[in-house]
Amino acid sequence: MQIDDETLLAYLDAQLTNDADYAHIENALTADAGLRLRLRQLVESGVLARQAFAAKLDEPVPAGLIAAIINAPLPAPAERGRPAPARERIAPTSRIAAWIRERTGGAAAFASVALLALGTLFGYYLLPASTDTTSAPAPIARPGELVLDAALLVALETAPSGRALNLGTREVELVVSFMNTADQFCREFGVARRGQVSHTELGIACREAEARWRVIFAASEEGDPAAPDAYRTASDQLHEAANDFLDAQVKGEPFDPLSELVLIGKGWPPAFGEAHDPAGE
Amino acid sequence: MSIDDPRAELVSLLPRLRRFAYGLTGNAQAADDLVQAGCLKAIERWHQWQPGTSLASWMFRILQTTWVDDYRAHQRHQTVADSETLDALAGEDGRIVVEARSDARVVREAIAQLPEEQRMVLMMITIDGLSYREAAQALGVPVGTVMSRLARARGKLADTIGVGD
Repeated sequence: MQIDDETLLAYLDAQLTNDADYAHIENALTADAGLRLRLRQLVESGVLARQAFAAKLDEPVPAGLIAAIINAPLPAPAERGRPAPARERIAPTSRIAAWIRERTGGAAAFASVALLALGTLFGYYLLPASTDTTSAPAPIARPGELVLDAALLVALETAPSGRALNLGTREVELVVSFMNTADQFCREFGVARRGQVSHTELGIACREAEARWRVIFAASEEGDPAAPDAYRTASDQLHEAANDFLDAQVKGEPFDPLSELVLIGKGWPPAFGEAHDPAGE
Repeated sequence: MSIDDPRAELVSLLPRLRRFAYGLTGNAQAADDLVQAGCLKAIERWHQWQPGTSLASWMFRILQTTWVDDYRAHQRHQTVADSETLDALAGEDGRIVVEARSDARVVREAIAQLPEEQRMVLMMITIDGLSYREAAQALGVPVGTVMSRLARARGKLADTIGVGD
């Protein structure tokens, strides 16, 4: 029986369906020198074809192509037709990031995608300077008070912005560092807690002598799955309030990551603030 | 990006997608344009991909339809012109001996001359290593059709560049 290219290729590509087919072809190959030659031609041309494109596979992928894909917007969860993957971490919406965006009109330099996404899910309410909170867990920081929570204190003193610190039931993330109009170093931070209701606090603390950090701004939000839009108006009001607050507080530009690392490494030295010169020591 | 972020999965496939698109278009720039357009389309339609099936063959299908629907008409004249000099692979460097380079060029030229439907099957199976079934899924045709297209493509290639003696 004549064996055609199609069958020989299926043999070569291991795509025949049963063992008897392989035996049949191998018997034919033993008996037929012409068939052996054809097999060899197919093998060698296949090798050459693979070699002809091997360099393309090994070539570095252009950075622009990778960037275009990494930066592509994902479709909204509703359009995706299956539940969105569980959020890997919870983090507060950064007020200062929004403020910076509004002032500069630029890219979200300090806000991650996760930070932006959460802002539309929850409402905010301002924490009064002193209050008896009724429902939510006691806030980790109140405006006007010193930070006493050890984990937050260590994070304020040593953690670079953008790194979330997982503390079991809580997660602390420093958002951005800047100098205020009183020439103090200040840091915006978020504290997220998981419980019956998700609870997220946002605050700004400024550094005083002897490594004490005082809270100068605090806001809190709670997840309410039943009414995700209920606080939108309040959120807008808070947004304006936060922007006014930051307008009055922030001096110059927030610190870039490298300057911030230098500040952390030097223990937030006062001289840096006055001279604004990391080498001026 | 989380583990199941489609963008991360697509980036890890990029070398294979670029090779396939290069075989399809015969032109490095057109290939990268096609890959980018195909990946953006895939991200939009990510809910249509069924986990557990071959992402590569799903992507090859998107690249193929994108090429046929959106790009081929604009690229045809350019492809013909380029096929004469199938552009040098950027990854090739001076150390590759001239003979090997010209061999690769001759082979790519021979593949470029194949009818498109044969060329796609060749790129998927012989170059990329998909199974016949995966290629059939990618092209939306029966396995038998894949086999006959592949046999015609490989037969011509063997006749053109196979070592005969």
